[in-house]
Amino acid sequence: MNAPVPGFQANPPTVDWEEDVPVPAAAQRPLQRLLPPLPLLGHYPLTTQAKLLGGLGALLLLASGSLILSARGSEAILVAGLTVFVLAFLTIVALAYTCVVEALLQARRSARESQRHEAAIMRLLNEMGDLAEGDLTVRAVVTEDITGAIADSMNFAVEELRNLVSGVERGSRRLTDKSEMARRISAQMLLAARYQSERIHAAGGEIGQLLDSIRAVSTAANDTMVVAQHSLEAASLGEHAASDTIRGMTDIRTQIQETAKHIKRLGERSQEIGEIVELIGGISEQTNLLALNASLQAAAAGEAGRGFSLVAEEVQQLAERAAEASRAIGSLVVGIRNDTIDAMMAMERSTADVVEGARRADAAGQALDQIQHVTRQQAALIGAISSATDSQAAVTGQIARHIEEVLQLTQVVGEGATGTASAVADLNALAGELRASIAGFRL
Amino acid sequence: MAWLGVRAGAINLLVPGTDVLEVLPFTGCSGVPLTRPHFRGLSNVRGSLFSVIDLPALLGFASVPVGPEARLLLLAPSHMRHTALLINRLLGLYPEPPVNPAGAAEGLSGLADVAPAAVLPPDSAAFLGQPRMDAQDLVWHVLDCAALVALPSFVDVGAPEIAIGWSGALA
Repeated sequence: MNAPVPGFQANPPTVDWEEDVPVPAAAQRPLQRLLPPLPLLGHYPLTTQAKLLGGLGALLLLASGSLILSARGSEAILVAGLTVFVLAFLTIVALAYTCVVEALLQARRSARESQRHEAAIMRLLNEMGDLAEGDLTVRAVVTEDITGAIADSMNFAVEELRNLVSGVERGSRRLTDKSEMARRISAQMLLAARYQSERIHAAGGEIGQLLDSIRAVSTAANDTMVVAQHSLEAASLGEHAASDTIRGMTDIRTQIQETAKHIKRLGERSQEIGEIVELIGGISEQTNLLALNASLQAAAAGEAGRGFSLVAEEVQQLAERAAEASRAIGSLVVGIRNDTIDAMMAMERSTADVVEGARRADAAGQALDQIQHVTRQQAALIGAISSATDSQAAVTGQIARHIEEVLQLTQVVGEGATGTASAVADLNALAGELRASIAGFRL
Repeated sequence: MAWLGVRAGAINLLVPGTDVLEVLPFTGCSGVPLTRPHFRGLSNVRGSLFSVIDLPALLGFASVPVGPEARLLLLAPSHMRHTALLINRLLGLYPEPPVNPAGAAEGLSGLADVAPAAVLPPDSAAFLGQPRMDAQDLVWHVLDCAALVALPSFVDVGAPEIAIGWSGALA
């Protein structure tokens, strides 16, 4: 871009019209240096300046000559007058020559200069021709011509414009990059928002299921509560029944013990009867022996003892009957005693059974009491569960509402992301347009 | 005249009432060492000492155990003073002994049926009469007390081995 265009060399070839000038430019330059143009004369051409200088020299000579004439003697005044005259003449000649040369030079120079100006302007126009097409790499050759300053200024302006367009290009490029990044980010945001929306929707559904299950748990807990209440009542009834049973058992036991006491007394009585009967048996035995001995004695007495023998025989028979009766009574008493012993044993077994039954009823009562206790605890726990599930249901409802709100917010976010995406697309399009607009520039 | 029916060992005996002074329950007696088994010992009856002869043991049966049915028959002094017969049981008073004699073989067989282990000593025939059967088919032997007390083995109550020892010492 910055490459020099062919035809515009850094050292341009010397222009041919300068050789035609009799007074070289180098000869004029010291003069111009010696006599720098006054601010008032700066705008005038050199020929005019030479005329003025010639006039000024003549004036100065005239003034000096007049001064010498006024101050010195006659010879000196003559010499001086001649000298002054010669000098004045020479000056006049020089002035005239100068004026002629100046006029010739002026004519030629003006022609050349106008040619040169035209060429320079043409060249400048030529150089600046590409600029119109947007080539900012164009550089005008800065010469000492009239177009030099213009070329310099234009170069500066083109450079500035180039910098500006470069900055715009870089900016649009960065804008494109950034908007692409923003587009990607907004696309990701949109995806994330959609995913979030789906997730939140799913979470809302799950929360709904959770709410249903919590309500089911709460219902079940209430049912269980009712059941526990029933079982509490049943256990209470059972405990009453058990205590009634224990009381009945205790009564039975007391009665059995009373009866056993009676039977025992009966047994003792029959024992006494047996002893008495035994005594009677012994007495009858002795009576029998006595009657036997009496009859033996009567037999020993012979005929005299016959009557006594009959009596003794009667006594002996009576004694034998008494012995038989007492034996019968004894066996009856033994039977009574055996029955009594059996009854006593049965009573003892019954008492043991009653005690065992009472113990079992007591154990059942204690078990029912424990059941009651446990059921009460269970009812309390179920109540706690019920209230906890109620509050859980309330909190879950709140969560569901919050999720609904979050879902709405997420939809808003999704819409925002969509808007952001379209805005970013617009921005991208704008950056494209910007770049397209500066695409015509060549940097 | 009355007869006392008694049980001695496995046989039934009829003892004439006149031979018996008194019937007493047996409540035990003081044993005498170095005597024969049928000599049961001495018993105090109202202040008088009586020799107690175990009749079943004399007949070869088991000794009479002390019990409520065991009885002492005090013998009439006309036969032997201060002597009592120990029997198992008193069966009762009987007016007359049964007349129809049981067959010897029948009686022995009946005896064997009643007490198969019992073996009557050979000298028992001297004081035991022939067996008789009464109306209730009970077999009875009539006891001859005079013949009994006259029996040397009845009187000789010393232990035989001791007697031999003495005789040996005397010789």
